[in-house]
Amino acid sequence: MSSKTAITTFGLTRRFGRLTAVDNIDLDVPQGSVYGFLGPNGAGKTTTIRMLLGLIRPHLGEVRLFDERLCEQRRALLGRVGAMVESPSLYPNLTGRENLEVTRRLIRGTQAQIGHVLHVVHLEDAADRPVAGYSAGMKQRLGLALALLRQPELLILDEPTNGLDPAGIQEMRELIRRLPADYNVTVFLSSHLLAEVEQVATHIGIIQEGRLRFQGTQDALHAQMEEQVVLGVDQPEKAKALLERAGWTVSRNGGHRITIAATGRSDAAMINAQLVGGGVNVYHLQLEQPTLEDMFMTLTNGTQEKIQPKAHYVGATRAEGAN
Amino acid sequence: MTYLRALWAEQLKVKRTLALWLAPIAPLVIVGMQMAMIMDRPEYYQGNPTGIWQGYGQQIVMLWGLMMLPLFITLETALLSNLEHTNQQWKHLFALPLPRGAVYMAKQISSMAIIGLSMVALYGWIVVGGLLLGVLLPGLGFEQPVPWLLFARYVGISYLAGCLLISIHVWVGLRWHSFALATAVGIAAVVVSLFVFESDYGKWFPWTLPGMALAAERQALNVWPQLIASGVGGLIVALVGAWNVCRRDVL
Repeated sequence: MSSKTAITTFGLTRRFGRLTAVDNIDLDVPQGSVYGFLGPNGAGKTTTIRMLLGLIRPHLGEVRLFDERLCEQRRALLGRVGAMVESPSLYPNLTGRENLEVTRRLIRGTQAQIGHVLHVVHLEDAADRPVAGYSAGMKQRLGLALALLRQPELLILDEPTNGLDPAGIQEMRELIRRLPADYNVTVFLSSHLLAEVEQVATHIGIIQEGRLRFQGTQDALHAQMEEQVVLGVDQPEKAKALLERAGWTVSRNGGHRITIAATGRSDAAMINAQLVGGGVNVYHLQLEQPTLEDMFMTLTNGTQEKIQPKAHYVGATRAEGAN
Repeated sequence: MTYLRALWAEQLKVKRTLALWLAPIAPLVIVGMQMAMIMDRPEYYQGNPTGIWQGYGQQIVMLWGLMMLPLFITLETALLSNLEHTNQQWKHLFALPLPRGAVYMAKQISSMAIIGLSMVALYGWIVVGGLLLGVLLPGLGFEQPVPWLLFARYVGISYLAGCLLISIHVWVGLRWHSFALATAVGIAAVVVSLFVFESDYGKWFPWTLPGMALAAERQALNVWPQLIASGVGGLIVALVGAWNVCRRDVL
């Protein structure tokens, strides 16, 4: 991985009246990465992206793309960037190919580029149909083609799977996943969908209420979170008291389940031995890695109602324990 | 070159739009109305001292300049601007590596071009309508030679006198996202213009300029004050409008 950065921001701040939508954000997006910019709806993702593209001006701070100041080199830098902000910007009266042609004329591209991006997003067959008749997934793919038309070094995608059905989400995810390797492009991807980010991103930034709560690789994020042992016991109160006396950090999950912050199998075995030795029967023991969702909840103080949960993160034991 | 590329893109954007179709249809409505009036009461038009062609042409351009042109400019610019508002094109266009002013000016010039196209259509429909009346109502005087230059003068005056209106409505259409607002401004202004046309204020009310210029031409008065006001005013509004729209945040 190159040590050069595609995006750097310093103290980026934007207010709307009394609301600080983006608050002192320092982004650091390495070239060649897929950077997942994760946050609940209204966290400041789109405002940040619009500042990255020079669409709105920050009240404080600055944006650097490829280590150059955006405010000084706007046109030159935007020439190296492709973007799709929220919904794709399309002319419904034109065909897919004509929509690409409008942008091609504006950026002085070649006809071959149009054919190439249509091929990349698998829209060759529908290219000559009016966009008004496109499905949401096709429009989204055409939006991606528009962003790719400039052969960008940096691709900025804001909620690219918004409004797509599961098949469309899968297709878009596959497209995004293969872009860095196939086209040598850095991808900056915003989303409120944990699954989307976890499956494609090498780096993650988590934003909440305009503030960057975490930034780094997925591994660094996981390393920040302790493993935990989830137990099913017949006497949860007694088990909790026993373990706390032994120095463990214990929390009740409700019912007969308790959770202990612990690391590794040896800790799990020791906990089991202490409980059995203390006269508590253990009928379930599981060592759990925290999921991205867990980390997200921790970092954003559990704004669950704003996050679309990822079903397969919630395993049977945890679902049970939550009751 | 960048500005030419932006204009080239505008040419494609209007494909299959109502905005393009309106260019020949709007003047046809006015010419059709005038033809219907003549056919309904041909006796009113007999013995016209200035010649039937001139009277017929003057009535059409007055109707056009006072009513249809301001409304047509309103609708046309609102439709063209709406192309950019419907799917929030600004966030795409203004993130491209080209000056924002190029996008604005391309819209200004394409609006002027389409309205210019309607002027050419008006010219054509006036002649075709008159020739048709010559066939339908022989003896009314339409057998006389077509006053080509006179009609060209009428159409040219109405176009130049409408330049300020085009600039104002391009700015209103691009500055605000609402199609309803853009059309409401034009309709309200046309209603006001009917009241102020005869007053002292009417001389400098932008929406009366085409009518005032054509009325001056009809009375063989100097039309240049209106044309200069429209041309210079149109240029100033276009520049200020571009500055205003281009420095706004794209939210």
